[in-house]
Amino acid sequence: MNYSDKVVDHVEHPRNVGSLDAQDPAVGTGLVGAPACGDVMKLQIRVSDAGVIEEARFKTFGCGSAIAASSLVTEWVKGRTVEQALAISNREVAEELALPPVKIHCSVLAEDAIHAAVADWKRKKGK
Amino acid sequence: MTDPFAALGLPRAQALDLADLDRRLRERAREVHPDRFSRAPAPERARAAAASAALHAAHRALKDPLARAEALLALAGRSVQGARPAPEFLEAQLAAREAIARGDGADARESARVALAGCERKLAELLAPGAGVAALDGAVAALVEARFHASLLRAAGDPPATPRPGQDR
Repeated sequence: MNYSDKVVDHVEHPRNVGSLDAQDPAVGTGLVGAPACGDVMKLQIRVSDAGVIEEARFKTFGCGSAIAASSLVTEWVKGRTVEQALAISNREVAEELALPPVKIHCSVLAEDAIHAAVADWKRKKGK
Repeated sequence: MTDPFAALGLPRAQALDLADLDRRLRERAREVHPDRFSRAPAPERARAAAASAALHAAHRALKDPLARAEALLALAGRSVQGARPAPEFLEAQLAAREAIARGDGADARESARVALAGCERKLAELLAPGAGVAALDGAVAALVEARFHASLLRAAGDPPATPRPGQDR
């Protein structure tokens, strides 16, 4: 597997690795898994009262593409509203990282993780 | 997809004698070996090379128990794509992965080994000839869980399982 330079960069210098307090009502946690390869991805967002994502963290256990996809989306969601974050598509992620067809599911996983994190935040907010 | 079982003359079943699988590959690959076609006309040579590649691909698809289960499910028109593991299962996987990353994952590894073996037993049962269509949902679920355990074990540096001949019968 030859990774693109962007994937290598994210794997060597992952952005926003770590955790936020899952009990914090302003934090949404998305935990997803890839059924085809067994990768596990956790994405967390801290959302302001105005609905803007102020902080994002991830922990991914999987291949380089999955790590890069989650690292990239933590950068992309920061400063966006939750609705804007939901508009991020796996295709954009795959294009940005130049993922080959066999690794598209990694970008799908990252999109799923955003949706799961936002859903968790909305559930906590009672929205 | 092409049928790897048919390519090697085997019944469609999860249970498999690995020594027999290897023997079938050797016998069939010999007949289409490039050396036997070195002086054959180009189209015939190309056909033999393609046949040889197909045999090796079929062997690869059947040698690993999880790949074999995936092949059987694909032949039944099923796939793990889109399957969603239960949240509790993912929580447990995350905890196990974190323990391994901390260097504290001996227990997590052992339970993954046990769980993977359990999934493989379940797959052999659910993907036996005559197990029926109703068993396929369970087989998809078992394969998904097995993928997580296998991925964890790879991450933990476990050598890939090299089954002894006949062990997987």
